[in-house]
Amino acid sequence: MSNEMDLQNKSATIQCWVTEYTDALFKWAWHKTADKTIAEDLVQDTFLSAIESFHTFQGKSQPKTWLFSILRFKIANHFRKQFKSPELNWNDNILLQDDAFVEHFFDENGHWRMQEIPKDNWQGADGHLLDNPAFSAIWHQCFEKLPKHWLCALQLKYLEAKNSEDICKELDISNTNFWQILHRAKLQLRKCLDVHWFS
Amino acid sequence: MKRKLMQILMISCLKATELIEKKSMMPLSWIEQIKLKIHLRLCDPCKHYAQQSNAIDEWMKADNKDLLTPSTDTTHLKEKIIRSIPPQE
Repeated sequence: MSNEMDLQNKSATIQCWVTEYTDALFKWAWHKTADKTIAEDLVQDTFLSAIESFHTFQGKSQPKTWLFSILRFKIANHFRKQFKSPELNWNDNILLQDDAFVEHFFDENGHWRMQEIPKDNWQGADGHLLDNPAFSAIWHQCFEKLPKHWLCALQLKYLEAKNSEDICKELDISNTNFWQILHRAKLQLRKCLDVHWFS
Repeated sequence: MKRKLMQILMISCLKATELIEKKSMMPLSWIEQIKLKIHLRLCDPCKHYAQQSNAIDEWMKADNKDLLTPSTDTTHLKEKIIRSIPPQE
C-alpha cells in the first residue's frame, strides 16, 4: 500500500514541480540554446528523466536545484550531439581554415583593421546587464548568428565544470582547434554586441 | 641584439587576442605570458578586447536561474508536460 502511495505521490509531486519550475527551467534553456522549440523539448525531457529517477531524489537538495542539474546535463548533451551531427558537415569549420574571416578583423600584419578596433565604449558591461530585457534580446540575436559549431563549443566551455581537455576528447577535436574556435566565436560575438548595443 | 629581442617578443594583435582566449582555457607558457603582457601594456585596443572578452565570459557563465528574460507564456508547455506524465505505473 505504501508503494502505491509513493507512486501517487510521485505523479502529484512532479505535477506540482511542473507548475512551479517550468518557467525558470524554460527561460534558462532558452537562454542557453537560443531556440524555443529545443528549449521546450529539453525541459520536457528534464521532467521525464526526473520521473524515471525520482527514487534517487531524496530531498537532500532543493527540487529546483535537482531539476536544474538534470537540465544542465540535457543541454550539454544537446550541444555535444549537435557539434558532432553529420548534417552540420563541418561546414562551419571551413570558416576556421578560411582566412577571410580573420582578414575581416585584422590586416596582413595582424593589426586591427581601422573599423574593427575595440574601443573603450562598453560602459555598464557587467553581469547585471543580462537582466535588462533589451540587452538580453540583443545577446540572443547575436548568439543565433554564430555558426552552430562555434555556439556549441562556446556553450560547452561554460556549461559543465569540465576541463578543456575532456571537452576536446568528447568532441573529438584538438586543443588548438578548440581555442581557435572559441577565438573566432568571441570575435564575432564581441563585434555583434558592440554594433548592436554599445555603439 | 635589443632589436632582435623585441622582434621575438612583439606579437600582432591577432596573436594577442588568440592568446587571450587560449589563456581562458589553459595555462600559457612563460614566454607566451611575457609576450601577452608586453602587448597589452602597449596596445589599448587589445586591452579593451581583453576587458570585453571578460565581460562576455561573465554573461556566458551567468547561471542566474531566475533570469527575468525572455518572458513567454509557458502554459501550453506545462500542459503538454503534465499530459506526458504517466499517472500510475
